[in-house]
Amino acid sequence: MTALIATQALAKHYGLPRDSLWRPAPAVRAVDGVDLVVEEGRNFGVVGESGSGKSTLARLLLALERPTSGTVRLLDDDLFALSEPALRAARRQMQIVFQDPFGSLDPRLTVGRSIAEPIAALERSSAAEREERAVAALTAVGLKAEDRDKYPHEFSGGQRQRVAIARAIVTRPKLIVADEPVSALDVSVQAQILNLMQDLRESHGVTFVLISHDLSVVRFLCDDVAVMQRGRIVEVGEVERVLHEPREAYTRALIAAVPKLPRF
Amino acid sequence: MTFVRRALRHRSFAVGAAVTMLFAFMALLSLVWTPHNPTRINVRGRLAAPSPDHWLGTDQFGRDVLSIIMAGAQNSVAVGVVAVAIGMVGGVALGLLAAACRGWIEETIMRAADFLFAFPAILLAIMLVATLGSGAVNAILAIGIFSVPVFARLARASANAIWTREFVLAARASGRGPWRITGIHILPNIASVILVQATVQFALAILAEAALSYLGLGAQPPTPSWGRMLSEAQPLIFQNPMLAVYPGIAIALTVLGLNLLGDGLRDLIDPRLTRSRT
Amino acid sequence: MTLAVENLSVTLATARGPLAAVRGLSFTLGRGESLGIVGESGCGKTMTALAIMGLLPEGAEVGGRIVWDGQDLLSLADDAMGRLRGRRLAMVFQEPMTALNPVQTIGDQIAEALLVHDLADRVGAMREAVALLERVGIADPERRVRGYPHQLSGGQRQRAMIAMALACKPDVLIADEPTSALDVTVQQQILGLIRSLAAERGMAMLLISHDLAVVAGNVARLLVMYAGRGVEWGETAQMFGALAHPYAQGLFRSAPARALTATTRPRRLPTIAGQVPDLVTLGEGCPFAERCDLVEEPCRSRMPEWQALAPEHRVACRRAEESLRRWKP
Repeated sequence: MTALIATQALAKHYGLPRDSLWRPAPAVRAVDGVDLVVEEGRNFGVVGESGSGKSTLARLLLALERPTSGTVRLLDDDLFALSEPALRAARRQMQIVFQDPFGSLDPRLTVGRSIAEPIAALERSSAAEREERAVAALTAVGLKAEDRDKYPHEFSGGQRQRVAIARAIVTRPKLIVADEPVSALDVSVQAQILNLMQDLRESHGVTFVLISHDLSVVRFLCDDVAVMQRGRIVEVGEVERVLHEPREAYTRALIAAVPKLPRF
Repeated sequence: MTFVRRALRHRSFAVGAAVTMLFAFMALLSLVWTPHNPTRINVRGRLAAPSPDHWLGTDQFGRDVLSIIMAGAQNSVAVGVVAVAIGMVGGVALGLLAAACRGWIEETIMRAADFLFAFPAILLAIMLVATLGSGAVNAILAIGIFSVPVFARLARASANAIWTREFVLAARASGRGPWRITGIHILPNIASVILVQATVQFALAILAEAALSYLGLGAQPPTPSWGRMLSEAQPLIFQNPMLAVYPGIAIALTVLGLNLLGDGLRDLIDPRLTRSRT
Repeated sequence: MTLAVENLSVTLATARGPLAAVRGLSFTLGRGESLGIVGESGCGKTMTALAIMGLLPEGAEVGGRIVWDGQDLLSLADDAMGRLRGRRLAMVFQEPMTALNPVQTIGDQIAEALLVHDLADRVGAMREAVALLERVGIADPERRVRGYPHQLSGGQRQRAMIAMALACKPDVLIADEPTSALDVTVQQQILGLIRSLAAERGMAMLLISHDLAVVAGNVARLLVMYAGRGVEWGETAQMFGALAHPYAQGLFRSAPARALTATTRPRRLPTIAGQVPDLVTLGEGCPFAERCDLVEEPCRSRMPEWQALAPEHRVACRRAEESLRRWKP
């Protein structure tokens, strides 16, 4: 097993407005010393409540924000030590899928253009080649080739999430960070998207880092899980182990809180 | 198609567009035809009352008032178009730059805009014309420059809102640089807001031009101009008030039409943006 | 006092033509009873709640009757409906941040409900607000009552919303996705709070959600809606034991929550084939016909009659028997 992405003592503090002239401005430690290793081929879940820092962690992993301290290594590269062009090249290996399928697509671009954007940004390519690959990505996520000329508002929430996933796989990345990819969707649509992610893992060799508040989603899709609380990882391990023999009280509370369907 | 139908049903948009188009048509028509030569002086036919030959009468130099109003529309439209173009291109570019760069570049641009903003616009234009010299071109420049901060502020505020959207974050995650993001995602998404502001600035530019010409700082004789018509009518205000009323009506109607058009556009464009969520 | 929805229909005007958001929906909700309405977005569950509250969007056409306390709410004049709303019928919304006024204190907003309906004077209303905040589990209510919505966490805001809804001691409480915006740990507390308050005050409760798991443990009866129609209704435990409508079965099986309790991790989640139908063009037949594996020709042309499977369990499906036979949850 090789480490696909790993963090070391990763921290991100945000400054708050001063409440006194004399004291230093207070800071929020959104991410506060996180060490984690995501192995290639093993989906990694990060669970926690809102405010636990899991979304900030997602943005740090993708180098969308600079950390206050610590490092993120993608394969052999220290992301924050790379030059701008080298970082750009590294981005081909990692993509993101957001929670809100309404906000994550530009309303004024056809979905074909949105999907092709990562290719246009990262590689020299002809328009015909971009179109061909966008169509391939569209069909891989279960949409039709004709859909490339439509605009986001012509799709339902679940279909838009498929488009967002198509955009994420179009450069054939090794890593996709998915930040609550199904929590804005109807329950029956969640299952379709989760199955799609499961399929892509096999067909495209993608490793997912799944940020979620929902343990059932994490159990379905992930091999390893880290439980975050107030910017720190309180427990980490294989999903089955953490679910069945949680070591931390907080993990137990999270598991107990999941609404359950009656069993027969 | 549905947009056009919705637009025609929107009363203030339809009225605004009709009035605006009427004046634009008048300006175009005057390039090729006016009832009389608007600059020809006719000493014998001074201050004539409206007649079939001179629909709105003549002024103290015997020029046909309707012809001057028509030709004056040319001047107003030209000033409006060029000044708004200057303000829009300069302001939007600066606003987008500020939003894309943040940090000290943003601070510098926005504080400069604040500085310009602190002066009353017309005073600023007078100052500029006073330094650059009077004349139509300088008036246009001055009016254009004073609308730069308006567009810069609006563009930056709207662009900042778009920059926080997730599709922009996705584009950054894809490796797009700030300039391409600005071109592909930011500008198209703020274009409608800028367009609405442009119609309002157009109206303000026409007013400002009229004011400068009235003060003798704008279009120079013999170029026909509504503002100068007002100032020329001033000594005769009690004797022959209609000479001031006609250009006054022309200015008021045009400004009203443009404002209605802008309001209508705002209504027509906004719901489409907000409705995409439901 | 029973709330009886009889043959309710709600039609919205859209650019593409009339959209039938709710069609021929009937159910009753007695004093102190609880009913959960479950269905996906667009199934008409929210429109049903808004119809009861008299808060449908402008241009919506309503048919049928909503009878409460002997009067048809749909034929009430605006001011009469206004007196009922908030006073006898109260509603809790999904997003507490947008449902609360950001520039008014929590106390003022709770007190306002009491003042509008002349149930207290200023001082009394504020005292009541403190008591309500305490009852919904907000710590330090004397201080919070003077605070603003942004100073509260999401869960506390939802608690404040519930306090507002309860201020006038309503007879019916409608909660539309009250916990969808909240963390799981808070979700259960809020649902438990709503349930215990309803029991304590003898309130009838209508709990609306897209998530079966959220509703299941908190209501006595369940109504499953699909594309504007009710398709299955029953006593909760009985219904889960014998879920009969193919759509309801699909909804249950596809819930990711089942991945957590399954003994081994599933490789795939079962899904419902196809897409939700377009409500503008949908015909008179069973709305699920196009996605149903048990479909017969008559299903496509006429909506199936309701049939009773048990005294407290009814389903609108022609193939209910076949469907029921394969139900092994």
